[in-house]
Amino acid sequence: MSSFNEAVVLQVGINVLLALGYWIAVSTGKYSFGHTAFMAIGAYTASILTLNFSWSLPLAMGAAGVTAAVAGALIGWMALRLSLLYLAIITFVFSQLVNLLISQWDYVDGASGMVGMTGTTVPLVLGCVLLVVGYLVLLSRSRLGLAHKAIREDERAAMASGLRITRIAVGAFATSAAVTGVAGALSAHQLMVITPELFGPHQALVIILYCVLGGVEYFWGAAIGAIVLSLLPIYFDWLNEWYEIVYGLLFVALMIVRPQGLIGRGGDGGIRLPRLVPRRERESVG
Amino acid sequence: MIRTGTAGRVAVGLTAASLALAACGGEGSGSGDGSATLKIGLVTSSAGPFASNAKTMEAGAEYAVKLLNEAGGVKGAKLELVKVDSQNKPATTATLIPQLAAKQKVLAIVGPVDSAGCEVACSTANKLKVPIVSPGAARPGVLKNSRPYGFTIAQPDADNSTPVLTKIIQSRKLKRAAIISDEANATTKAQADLFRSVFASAGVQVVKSVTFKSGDSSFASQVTSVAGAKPDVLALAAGPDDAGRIAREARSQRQTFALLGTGSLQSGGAAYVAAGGEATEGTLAAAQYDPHSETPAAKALLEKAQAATGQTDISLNFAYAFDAVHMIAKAVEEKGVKGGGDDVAKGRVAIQESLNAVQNYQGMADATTFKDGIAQRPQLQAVVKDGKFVIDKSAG
Amino acid sequence: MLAQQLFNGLLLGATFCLVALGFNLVVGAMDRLNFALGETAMLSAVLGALIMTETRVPFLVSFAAATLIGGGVAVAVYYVSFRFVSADFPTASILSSLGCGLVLTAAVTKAFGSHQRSVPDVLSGVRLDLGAFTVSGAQLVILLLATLLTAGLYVFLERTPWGTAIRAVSDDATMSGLLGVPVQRVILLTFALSGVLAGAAGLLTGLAYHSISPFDGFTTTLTALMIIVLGGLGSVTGGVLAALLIGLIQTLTVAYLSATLRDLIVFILVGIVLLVRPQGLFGRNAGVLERV
Repeated sequence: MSSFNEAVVLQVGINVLLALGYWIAVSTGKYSFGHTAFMAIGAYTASILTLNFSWSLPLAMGAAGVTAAVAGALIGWMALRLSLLYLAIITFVFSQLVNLLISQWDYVDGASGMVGMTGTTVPLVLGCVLLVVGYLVLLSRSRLGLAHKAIREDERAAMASGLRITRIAVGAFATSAAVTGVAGALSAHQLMVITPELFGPHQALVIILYCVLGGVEYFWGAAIGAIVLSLLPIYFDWLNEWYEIVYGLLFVALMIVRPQGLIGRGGDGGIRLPRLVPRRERESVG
Repeated sequence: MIRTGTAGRVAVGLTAASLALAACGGEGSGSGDGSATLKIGLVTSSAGPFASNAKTMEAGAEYAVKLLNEAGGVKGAKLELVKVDSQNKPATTATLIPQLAAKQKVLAIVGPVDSAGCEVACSTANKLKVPIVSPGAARPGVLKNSRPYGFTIAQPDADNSTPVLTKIIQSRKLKRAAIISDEANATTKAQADLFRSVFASAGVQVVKSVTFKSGDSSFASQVTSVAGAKPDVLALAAGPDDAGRIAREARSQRQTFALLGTGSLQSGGAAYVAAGGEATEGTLAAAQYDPHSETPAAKALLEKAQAATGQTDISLNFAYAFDAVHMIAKAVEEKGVKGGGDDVAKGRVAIQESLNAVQNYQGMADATTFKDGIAQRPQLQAVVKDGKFVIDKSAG
Repeated sequence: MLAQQLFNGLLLGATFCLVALGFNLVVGAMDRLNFALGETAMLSAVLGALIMTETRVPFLVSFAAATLIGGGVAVAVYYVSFRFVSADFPTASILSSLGCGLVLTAAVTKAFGSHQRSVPDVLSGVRLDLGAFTVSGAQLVILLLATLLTAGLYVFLERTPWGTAIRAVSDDATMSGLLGVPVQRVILLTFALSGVLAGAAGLLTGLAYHSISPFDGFTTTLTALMIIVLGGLGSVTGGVLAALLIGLIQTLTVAYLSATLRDLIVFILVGIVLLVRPQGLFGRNAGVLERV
C-alpha cells in the first residue's frame, strides 16, 4: 500500500471511529457540542504516555480511552438531564475549559503543543473500527440498545417502564467518550503534532456533521457520513476557493431533500428528535 | 423497529467496502509515465486566515516556474508545479502530503505558508523523506519534528529581531514600555517573550502587560489599561491584522506612544497598514526582507517581478516562494537529479543534502543561509512611512 | 480608569445586544436557531464598509445599506434553510444554516481575501470629555444607534399590530394561525427584522473594533447564543440586560485579569446559570420556557 493510500485509510478510519463514538451518545438522543474535549483528553493522555513514559501505543490508547470515559461519565452525570440546546452549551463550555487548561499547561508545552508521536498503523486503526462496529452490532441487538432507543424516543415513558435511565444515559455517554478518546490518541500519533487549537469548536462541528449528514438513525449512517466527509477534501481539493462554497451548499441542498441525513427514514416511523427547548419544564432525569 | 440483522451486516459490509474503496481510489496515473518533467508540489490553502498569504505564495512559485521554463527548464527538463489545497485543515494536510509524495511523485514540496500548517506538513514530509520548504513559517521550533527534510525561509523573530530592536530602543531613548500579546497563541507568545528579554537587557522598564485574543476582540479595554500606565512605547506582539487594529484604537484614544513590532508585522505585507490605516504611521519594526533591496541580484529579480506582476511592492511570501522554487531547481541542477522513474527517492535525498548545504544563496529576498533547516536572514529595520513599510537603510 | 473601562464594557454590550435580539426574535417565532446570523452580520458589515470607502457616502447611508443587506440575506437564509426544511428534524435547519454560514464566509474570503477589512472612522474630530471618562465620536454614534434600534424594536413589538402578531406567534403559532394571524408572513418578518438587527450590529461592531474579519461570524453567533441563554430564551428585556452584563464582564476580565480567560469566564457563568437556573437569569420562572 502506498503512503498515500495508507494516509487515506488512516484518516477515514479515525474519522469513522469519531463518528461511531459520537453516535453512541446520539443513540440516547444526547447531542454534545464538546466531544473534542474527549478527543483532546485522549490525544494528550496517549501522547504523554508514549513520549514521556515510552508506553506502547495500544497500551496508551487504552489509558486514553479510560481517562476520556471518566471525564465523559462526570460531565454526563452533571449535564444529561438538560434539553438539547442546553446540553450542547454545557458540553461546549466543558470543551473550552479543557482546551484552556491544556494551552496553559507547560508540561505539554502549552499553546505550542506536543510533537514527535508516531505509530498509528492501518491494522491498529482498522482493528479499532472493527471492534467498535462489533460492539455496536451487539448493542443494537441487545436490551441495552433498545433502552437507548427508548430514552431517545421518550425519556418519561422509558423511566415509567422501569429503565434506570440516568445510569444508561451516563453509561452511553462515557462509552462514547472512550471511543472518541481512542480516536484522539490515534489521530495524535498519525498527525505527529498536537496543539490545543486542533481541538477547537470547528473540530467539534465536524464530528457532529459526520453523524447528522449520514443520518442518526443507524450507526452505519454515521460511518458513511464520516467516510463521505473525509474523502471530499482529499478528492475535491481542486475546487480550491470554490470548495467551501460547494461544501456549504451541499449541506443546504441535502437538508432540503433529506432532512434525516443520507441514511434513515424520514417522516412517520423516523425517529423523533428532542425539541430544542422543552415546551414544559421536564422532570429532571437525574 | 431496530433491524438488527440487516443493519449489522450492512454496516460491516459498507464500512469495509468504503474503506477498501478509499484505499483503491488513490491508485491511478501519475507514476511511471517516464517523462522528464520535474515535479514540485505546492501546498496552498484557500480557506482560513492565511488564504491571502497562500495566494501570494502561489503566485511567487508560479512565476518562478514560468521563468525557469522560459529559460529552457533545468538541464532541458521542464518544471511542473503540482498544487494541492489543504483548506487550512491539519488532517487534510496530513493526507495531501502523502498524495504528493506517493501518487504525484514530486521531488520536493513548497509550502505551506503558515506555521501551524507547516508543523503538520513538514513532519509528514520528513517522515516520507521528501524535502519541503516553507516560505513563511516562523514560529520558534516549527521544524522540531521535521529534520533533515524540513526547511523554512522565514527566520523566527527571536533570532532575527533582537539586535534591531535593541538598536531602536537605544536610538529612540525609550524608557517605559508596555507589551500587548496573545498568550494563547504560540507565535505571539514567543514575540512577547522576545520583547521582554530585549527590554530587560536594554534597561527598559515594562510598566504594563496586557493580553488579547487573536482575531475577534475590541481593543478598547487593553488600550485604556495601557494608557493608564503612560508608556513611551507599546510593543505589539500580535499578527499584522490585530496589530493594525491596536494601532487604530491607540490613536483613536489619542495616545501618542511609539509603536514597536517584530518582523512579523512587515512580513504580513500590506496587512498591518491596511488594517491600521493612518494610525500605523511611524511604527517601527524589525524586518528580514526588503522589497526594494539594493543588492544587485535581488534588485534585478525584484524589478523584473514588479514589471511582470504590475505591483510596486513584491510581498515577502511571493519572494520567499520564488526563492524556494529556485533553490530546489538549483539543487536539481547541481546534483543532476532526473524527474520521474524510480529514482525519485534518490533525487529527494540529493535535493535535501544540497538544500542543507545552502550558504549565502542570493535570490529575490537577498541572502539566505540554512542553518539546521532554518534560514538565517538579513537583520533590517523598517518604519511605516506614507502608508507603507520602508526599510530604513541608514540603520543597516 | 475604572469608569472608562465600565463605559467600554457598556459599549461592547450595546453591540452584542443587537445581534442577540435578532437571534432571539427567530427563536421566539420558530423555536429554531439561525446559525448563519453571525455571518449575515459579517457580510453586511463588509459590504457596508466597502460602500463607505468606495463611494464616500455619509456613514448613515452605508449603515442603512448594511441593515438592508442584512435583512435581505436573512430572508434568503430563511427560504433555503428554514422554509423548505422539515421541522420534524431540528438538526436539519441548524445544519443547513451552518452551511449557509460557511458559504457566506467562503464567498467573502473569495471576493475580498482573508485579511481583515478596515472600517473608516466616523466623527473622528469629536471627543467628549466627561471627567471620569471620554467618549469618541464613533462611540457616540454606536451608543446612539444601538439604543435607537433597541428602543424601536421594543416599541414595534409592543405597540404595533405586526409586533403583536410576532408576539402572538411566539406564544403559540398554531393558535395564532387558527385565529387568523398570517403565521408564515410573520415568521418571514421576524427573519427580516433579525437580519436588519444583525446588519446593524455587524457594522457597529466593525466601527468599535475598527475592522471586520471574514471569520468573525461564528464568534458572533456564539456570543449571541450565550447572551440569549443567559437572559432567558425569547425574552427581550433579559437579552438586553444579559448583553450589557456580558459586555461588562468581558471588558473587566480583559482589563484586570487576562484576555485568555475572557470567553471562558462568560462560558462558565452561562454553564452555572444553566445548571442552577435553566430558564436564564432574567427569565420568569416558568413563563419563558412556556412561551418558547
